[in-house]
Amino acid sequence: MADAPAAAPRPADTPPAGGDGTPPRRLPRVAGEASSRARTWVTATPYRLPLAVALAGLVVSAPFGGWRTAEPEATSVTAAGEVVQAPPFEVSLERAYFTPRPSDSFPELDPGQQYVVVRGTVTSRHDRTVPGTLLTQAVAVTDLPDPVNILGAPIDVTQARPELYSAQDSTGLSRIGPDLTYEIGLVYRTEADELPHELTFTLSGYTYRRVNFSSEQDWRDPAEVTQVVVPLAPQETGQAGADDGDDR
Amino acid sequence: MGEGRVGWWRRNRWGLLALPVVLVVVGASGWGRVATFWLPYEMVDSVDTEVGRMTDFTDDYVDAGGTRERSLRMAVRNVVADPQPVDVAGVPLEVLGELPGGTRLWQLEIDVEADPEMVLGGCHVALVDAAGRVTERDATLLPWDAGWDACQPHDTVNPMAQLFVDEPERDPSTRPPAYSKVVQLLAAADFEPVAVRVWWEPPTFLTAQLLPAGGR
Amino acid sequence: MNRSWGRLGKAAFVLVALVVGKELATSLPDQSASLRPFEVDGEAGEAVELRTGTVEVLDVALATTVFTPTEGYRTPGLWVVVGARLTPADEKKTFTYTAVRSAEGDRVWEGRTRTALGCPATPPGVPVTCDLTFEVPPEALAGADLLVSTETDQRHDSLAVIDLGLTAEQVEEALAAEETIETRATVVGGGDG
Repeated sequence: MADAPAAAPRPADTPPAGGDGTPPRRLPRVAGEASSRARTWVTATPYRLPLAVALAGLVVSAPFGGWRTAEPEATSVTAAGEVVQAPPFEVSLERAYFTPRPSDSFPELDPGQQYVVVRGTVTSRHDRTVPGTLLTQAVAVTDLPDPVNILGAPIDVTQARPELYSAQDSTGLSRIGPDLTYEIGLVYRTEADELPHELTFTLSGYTYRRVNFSSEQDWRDPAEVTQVVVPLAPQETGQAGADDGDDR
Repeated sequence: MGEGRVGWWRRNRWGLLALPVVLVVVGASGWGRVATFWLPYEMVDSVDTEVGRMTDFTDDYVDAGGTRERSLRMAVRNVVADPQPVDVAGVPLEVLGELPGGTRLWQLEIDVEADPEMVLGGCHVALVDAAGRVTERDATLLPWDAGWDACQPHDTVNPMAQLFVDEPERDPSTRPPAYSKVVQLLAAADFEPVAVRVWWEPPTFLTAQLLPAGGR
Repeated sequence: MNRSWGRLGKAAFVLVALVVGKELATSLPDQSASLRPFEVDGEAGEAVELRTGTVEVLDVALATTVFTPTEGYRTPGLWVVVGARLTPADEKKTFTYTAVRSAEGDRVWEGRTRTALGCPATPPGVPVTCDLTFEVPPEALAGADLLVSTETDQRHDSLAVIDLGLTAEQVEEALAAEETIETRATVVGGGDG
């Protein structure tokens, strides 16, 4: 802002300042002349006022960072077992265990591979049924070593998508209706020999909004809500896997 | 006043002349959407013939290699009700259980003359009644129907649509240039067909009218 | 003086037009209202006519566990098993969209929450009878309706809304009894309406 008037062309009707032989002016007059020139420049075309405001904003904001990239806000951490609001879901992740085969409902894996089952609960608060994939995309494991996909091929941990099971009966859960609190198992597969003692998950929430392309409403724009660290241990013997199920 | 009005007409004469042209262009651009987004997906292009008559049939399909033409000659004949169940080769079978209550079995034969390399997989066969109801052949409804293609022999190497841009050479087709195929389908007991419809994908389909009584 | 009043008037007009336009745009029914399906009301045991066929609810049962030939399913809510018959009108059709809607109409539970329990498509005039299964919180079941459409996209199309005739007492009994149900095999044909 300070140098803006100096850069402006001198309006024709303003007498030249500080010309030869002119006595040095007193400060108030100089300031008064500068502000009047500034006003002339700013009002000369309609576009200069917003430009001047923007430049002033930049100058004023400079001590507070100006254009510098802001630090990302640290994600909060939620204790295992606590219910997290991750719209449209209320999710809790309680514990995790690894096992070559949680129960007969699961196919046998290649040698060296094993299942990692994360137990928790989910409730949908949307007013209609949502697909289970919305949940499996909202829960992201960050530090599972050597994940593999359902074909047994190694994948990057960012690509690791769990399968969603109802833990009550060890069957796949493909859709989630409103207001039903399911005990769930999120099932990953890994080929790591050594597994850590805890796993860290990032939970994201969505926004229900109109989709521009189809102008229908949908849950979009995942945004990280919190991180959850759950303990990981071998499956206890006698524990019936992702289920306490009674498949016949 | 009258002078002013004439002035208005004169002043806007070019705009007035352009107006009908603009209206036509607007209408045509709307039609473009119909022709692009609706017509190709509706059954609007009927190739009409009669049962028993060999007919040229041409339509388009799109695969990984681009838009292709499918052209063949075919005839529908021997449309009969209550046939004996037949296997995939058309050989009669012992009756396997009963048909669902309130249904009736129909049978027809399709004669095809086509280049052995012409892709004919995935055809649909249906009976149409006077009210426009369409009863389509559905292998899942007939316990003895193994679900083989309705318009190709089951025991030859048949050409397939190209799934990928770079595709390895396939085995050459051993399909004969002319053959017949028996098709059976399940309809409601009160379903009275007036025509047979054969198609691959919209919008083109073959309609073979059944001849009045006795002509089947 | 007059000219500046005129300019002020123009600015005010633009502002008022913006406010009125915004109010109209937000208060008038939007597309979700204009595209909504045409609801055809009915009761259990009564044939309900859709554009694409006729639907009839034959029986309704509640259970805490449902058994199919291959698996057993529990639920945090209550299973609603609806025996329903569909007779397609002009083309082959099946139960493509099925759901239970609360009596207030504000919550919808779609079927096929577990494995996709298939029901075959049948030709015009040939009925198909299937068990449709839903898991619903018990407190939402009294007075709930069954929604049936043969289309994946029900906009501008007919939608059957069939009162399941469930009462709070029935729901409590089912919860107390912890009953299990085996789904019945699909039946093609056999229908005389």
